[in-house]
Amino acid sequence: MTGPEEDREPTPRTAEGWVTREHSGRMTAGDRRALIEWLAQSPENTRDYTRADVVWRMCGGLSSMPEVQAELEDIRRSVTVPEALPPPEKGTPRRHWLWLIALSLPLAAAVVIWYARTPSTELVTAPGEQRSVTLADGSLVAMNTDTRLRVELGRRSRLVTVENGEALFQITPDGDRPFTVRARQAMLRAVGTRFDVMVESKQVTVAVLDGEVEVSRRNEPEAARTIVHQGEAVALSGDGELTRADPLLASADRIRAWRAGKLDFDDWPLERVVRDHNRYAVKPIRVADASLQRLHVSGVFRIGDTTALLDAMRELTPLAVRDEGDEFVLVPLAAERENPERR
Amino acid sequence: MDELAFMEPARERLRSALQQLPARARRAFLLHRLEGLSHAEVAERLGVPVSVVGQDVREALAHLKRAVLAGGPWKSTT
Repeated sequence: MTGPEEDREPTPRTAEGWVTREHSGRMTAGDRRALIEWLAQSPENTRDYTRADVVWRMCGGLSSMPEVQAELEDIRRSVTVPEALPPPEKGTPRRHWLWLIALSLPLAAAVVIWYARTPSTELVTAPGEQRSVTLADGSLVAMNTDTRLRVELGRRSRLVTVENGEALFQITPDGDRPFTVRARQAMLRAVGTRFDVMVESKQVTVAVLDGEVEVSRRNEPEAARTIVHQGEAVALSGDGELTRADPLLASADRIRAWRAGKLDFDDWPLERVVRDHNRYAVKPIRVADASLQRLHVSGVFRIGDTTALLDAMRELTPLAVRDEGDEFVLVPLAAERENPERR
Repeated sequence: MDELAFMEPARERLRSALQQLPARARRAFLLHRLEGLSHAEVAERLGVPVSVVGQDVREALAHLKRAVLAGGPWKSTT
């Protein structure tokens, strides 16, 4: 399978050597010890390693660039379509591959729960936790951080109430039992579809990835009724008004990213980045200075990896980070230099 | 105008540095980093030895790192 030269790869000697080794899936216990030793050799090594790591993460954002998409499409076309008879398809087509990876991530440990005799079941995730649940009817519910759901599966109806947080639903069609999702003022009716529901204070955002969902007001099902189609999103305010959804929250990229355990910021305002991070975090980040609101950032981070996010801020933006015990505070680098004691 | 928005220049530098890479290294890097293919799978796709893929990915990252970090205020090594 592999030639003799690949059997034992030489120990990396550079920061990018180490970072790529870590992501190659071929990092051995011996390598890990060697890396720790290498980092300890000089502060420059540590610094260089952090930078290589930050750039590696940034590169995750390349996938949204049109020329990169075009090039990948090119490679797919040129390599996967042979001139002769195509070989029998082994496994899943490449297109679906990333999505499957997302579904099989270990942090989203799947649990099958049977409700047959339980009138109402509560499902909860803690901040930073994600969980995938298969309901007794076969529908899949992926729960994001800090989420509380109530599930009631009856003979004639299926009802899930999103009390708090965010969940992605993949509904198994069942003509005899409509599937309804309630969130604050919103009531959603779905038939064989995949959609994301997010509750942020009083506002509910609904983004439909597949199929369609009927959205109406909870107490007046005939009022404000609207059909949300694939690729569309709506928001329902606290007083039940239908509004345009925030495109950042409704984006399919954001939903795919959280399902894969990642935060994917593509040119997000700093304030939104921090707010999204804080949904998952035990120790929140605060932006101290209003002048920083206009700063836009991009990058891909593992959920819960506050250190990586702060490292990227330090390396790539004119921000300093203060650890104030129960929170991290972002301040302009210039202010920090002039007056490091300022609160 | 918005002097704080350094992240966007960094992204632009990343974009142009990517285009400067030799085609093989760029393809190897993109397939590995974005499509999640292993070095061995990339090697098979591109018809090159696995060791070449490792080297391409490493050198691509080194090049992108130099480009992204060039010229910013973070360059000072104090």
